[in-house]
Amino acid sequence: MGVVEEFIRDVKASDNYEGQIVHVEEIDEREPSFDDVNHILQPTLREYLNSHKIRLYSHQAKAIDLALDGKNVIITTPTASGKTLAFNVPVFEKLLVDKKATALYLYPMKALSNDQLKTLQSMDAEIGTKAHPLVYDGDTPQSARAGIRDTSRIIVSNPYAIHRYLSWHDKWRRFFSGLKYVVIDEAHTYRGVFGSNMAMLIRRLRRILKRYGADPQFILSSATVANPEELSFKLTGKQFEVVSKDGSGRGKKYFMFWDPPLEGETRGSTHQETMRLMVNELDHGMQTLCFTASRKMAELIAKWSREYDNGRLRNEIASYRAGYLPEDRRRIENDFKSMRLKGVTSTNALEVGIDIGSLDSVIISGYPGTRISTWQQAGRAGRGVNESLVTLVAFDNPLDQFYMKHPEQFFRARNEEAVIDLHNPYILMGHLMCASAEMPLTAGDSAYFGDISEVMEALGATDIIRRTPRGMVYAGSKSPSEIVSLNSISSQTVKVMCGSELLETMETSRACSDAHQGAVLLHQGETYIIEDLDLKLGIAKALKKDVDYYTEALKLSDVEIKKERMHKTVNGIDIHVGDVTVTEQYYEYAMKRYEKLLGYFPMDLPPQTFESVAVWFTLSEEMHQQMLGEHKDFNGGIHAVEHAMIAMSPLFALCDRWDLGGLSTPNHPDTNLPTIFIYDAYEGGIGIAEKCYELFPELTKATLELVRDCECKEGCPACIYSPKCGNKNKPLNKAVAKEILEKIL
Amino acid sequence: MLDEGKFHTAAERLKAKENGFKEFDVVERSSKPETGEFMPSWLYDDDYSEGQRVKKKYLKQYDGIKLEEAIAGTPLSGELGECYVIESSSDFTLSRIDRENARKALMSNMRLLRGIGAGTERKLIQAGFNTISDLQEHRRWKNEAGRFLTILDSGDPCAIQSELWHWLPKSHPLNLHISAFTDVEKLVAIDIETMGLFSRPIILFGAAFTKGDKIITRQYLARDVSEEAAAIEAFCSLVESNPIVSYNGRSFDVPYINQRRWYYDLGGDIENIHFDMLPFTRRFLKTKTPDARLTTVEKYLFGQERMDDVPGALVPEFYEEYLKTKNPGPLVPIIEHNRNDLISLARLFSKFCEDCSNGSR
Repeated sequence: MGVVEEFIRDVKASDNYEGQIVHVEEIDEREPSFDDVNHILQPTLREYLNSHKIRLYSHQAKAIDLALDGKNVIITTPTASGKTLAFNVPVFEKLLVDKKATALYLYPMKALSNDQLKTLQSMDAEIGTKAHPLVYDGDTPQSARAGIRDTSRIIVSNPYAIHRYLSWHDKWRRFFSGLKYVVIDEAHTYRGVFGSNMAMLIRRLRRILKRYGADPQFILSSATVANPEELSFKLTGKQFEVVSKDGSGRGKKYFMFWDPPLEGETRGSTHQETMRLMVNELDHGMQTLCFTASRKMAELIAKWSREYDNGRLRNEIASYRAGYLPEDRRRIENDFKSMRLKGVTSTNALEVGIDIGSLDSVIISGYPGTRISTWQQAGRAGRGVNESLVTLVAFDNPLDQFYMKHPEQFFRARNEEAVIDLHNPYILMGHLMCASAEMPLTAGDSAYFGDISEVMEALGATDIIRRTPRGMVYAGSKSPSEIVSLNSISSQTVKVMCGSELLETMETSRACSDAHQGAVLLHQGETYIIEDLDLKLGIAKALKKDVDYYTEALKLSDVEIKKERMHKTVNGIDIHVGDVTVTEQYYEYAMKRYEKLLGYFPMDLPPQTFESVAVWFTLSEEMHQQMLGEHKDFNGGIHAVEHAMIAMSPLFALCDRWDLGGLSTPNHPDTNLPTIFIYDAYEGGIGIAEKCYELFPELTKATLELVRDCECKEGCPACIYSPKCGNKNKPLNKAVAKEILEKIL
Repeated sequence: MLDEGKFHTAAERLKAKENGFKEFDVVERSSKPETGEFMPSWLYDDDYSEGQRVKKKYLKQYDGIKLEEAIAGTPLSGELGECYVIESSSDFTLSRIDRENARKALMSNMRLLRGIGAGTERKLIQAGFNTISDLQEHRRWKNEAGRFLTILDSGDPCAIQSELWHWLPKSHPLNLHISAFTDVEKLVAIDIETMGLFSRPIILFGAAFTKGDKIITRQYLARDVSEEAAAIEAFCSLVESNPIVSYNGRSFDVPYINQRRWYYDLGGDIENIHFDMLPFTRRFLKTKTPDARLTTVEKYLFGQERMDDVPGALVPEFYEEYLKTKNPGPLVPIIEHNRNDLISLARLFSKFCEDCSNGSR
């Protein structure tokens, strides 16, 4: 019996086992499937592959061939399947053949850029392309910049940098005119607001490249999404070939779902369960990596497990993060490789990088929010062909509990769909403003952005851009790339400052909910307390503080239908999608420690009104009257349906339940019927409500399953309770919600 | 699908984001801002309020008057459209560094050769070698000396400048001697006025050159943003490939003009031999003045006091006021400011050359 099987058997047989294992998925080992490229590679490149004894997997060969055929390619095979080689080979091949060819690599985060750079530099040295791969971003010293622009043929950068440098395209003209490949890694991270901004940025880039005679191929590398064609097309405006069949080999993997035991109506502490699992695994001789959402939790779990049982494991467990000094990281990595360290806790996979290597076991404490992140973290388990164990420990909230009860939804259902909205007027306008400062804006730019005549008019009317015979010329008083942030919708934003350091920029509406006075803000795994929020100035003052409680702001919403775009009828229910005006009022916040309510505190913020996009559906007046006649809590029912549906949306669209807001009412002034709204909590809409409209039947089905299968009697945070409910989760009625959902399906 | 009203709201929001935004900080007169960032990123508070006073004054004075009446000039038509040319002339004699003297000065600095530092130079002098010319006889240094002389006698001032910059900071006065190897009588002083710090239109291109005992300023004004392209062309035609002198032009004026050339797809970069007076001035002034602004320098060196001057940082809002109201008032001090800058720049260059020739530098 293998180590993992033995471990699971021991757990089940132990005295204090309370049935937490709700599912074990056995993922069979798989032999790798090798192939070679059809194209004949340049000798030095072929020699590189041979000397490193690299045999190409089938998906690598396919991607390389497609790229060398001149196609745009999106590769969606899992983590550690060798995607990097799949895009590096075509790039180096091209650079060997064409001495003027250049390539641009874009990463969403700097830490990833640096890892890739090392690989590129060693390949460059061995293959002899003389490409001088270098990073060019905000950290690049001024003195080095001209040299890199003028001589490097491979430049590694990030979207924030490109956003700032595009207006300097004259200095980049050598690099741009030779540009043959744009490589975008971690493409699935470009979603929501960031994704829409990135899509606009890529269009601005392509527009400038055209001026210099370049029309590069795009190679995208992404985690598995259900809609890679849509993602790649929306991100770049080009058509792609999809490579998704994974040819890499793997050892047998056991994926265990662990649900903390029910204690009355609530469940035990997720992190305590994690800690005990880790100790247990270490005792079974498995090297274990544990992922949590915050550094605080990572450190706590490490601390608890080190203290466990008189501290017998105190020298074998450490917490790890990218922010440590290089010498500390090296020490931890070496201790891990030498087996002196057996357990490491960390926040998400990206923090860990590739230096830690692979392990026998991964524990994921709390569902990370998307299947993509979960599989990325799970991907760290497994050394070569040996068997490995992944354990997902659930939180007591709807999404986690849903998967615990419906593991097939995790393992066999379609992946989430990536969502990128190309039509948010604020985002579009911000980028057109930037574009007008890069080259005069003309009607011809519709080729990249769609019909922009109205936008050009509106911008012209404010004199931000001015009409000239050559097109619209930017004439504002601020450099546009400073007004437009890739992480916001370019309308009213709030800067969260810790001293003089800018932590992040967020929409005003988000600031009301996440950065109000007294709020606990989680940023890159660290906790901060917001001391003050000044909406007029757009500044929130944060103080770094280690706290063990968190806050949730409660809001009341109002929705007004401005204009319906589409409607359809499914099972007799009218479903609509369209433009709405949302008013949100945050009036109070709750302080909680480990899901235990400590108290409510008042807030003094003005209501936020913004335009957005919503999906809504109505119920018949007959159903309403009939239920009232049966003395059923109709209002509680629709309210519960609203919460549950929002909670299930991340199952289908790559988003967070907090990206959405909702409203349910037995009679809405615009419909005169009982109505439930789900709207994008982003000014101008961000495409999620639209996705929900598209996938409405599936969403409703999952919502019913959630409500029906929850073990609670009358509702709980794992099904119909919403932590941010402005009505403090009243009225809510689980039974009526179930009935309504059954009637809809 | 996209609602028209939506766009107008969005545009208003974007405009509101930048309204009241200034690309400079207003600082107290007593404070000492970092001299790392030069103009126009900070402005003394009294200069700021003085600027507001000037703006009000000229708006009032020129209310209802047309631009062509307020500012004497000639429309200039070209391939890229029209712009407005304003000329002036005044007495001026340009001092220059004699070519022979320049050559001598460079030759007597043996540290301009790769490998020769202070220690080696001392030893060489003790051994009787005093100039690079002497070193042509030196067994070890004759190759380097030969290489340097080839560059020096190449007739390419840009090459000489590049070579000197390997060994000397840009502020070193020896760099100014390179002007002797150019057609310095064709020297053009340049200074631009813009709507901000890059990525915005240039609204005034100022050039000054000498003719006999006069200095002529020729300023190309974009009466609207649509005239910028024409003004660039006209200005660059004047500048041609002549030697240019500027104040902070290496960091600001020249890259800015290049950026705008490529913005309009006109191609070509300014690659003229370029003497940027800022580093020289900073080195010379050190702590003699509170800052190295041209107005401060001209007051210190020439005793010049300007009337109704508009600080460079306020040019954008003056121009925008003109665009908004069509009142040419705010343009008047901009043009005058630019003209004064050009003349001061020429005087500065002249004085430094004179001092170099006198050996006091």
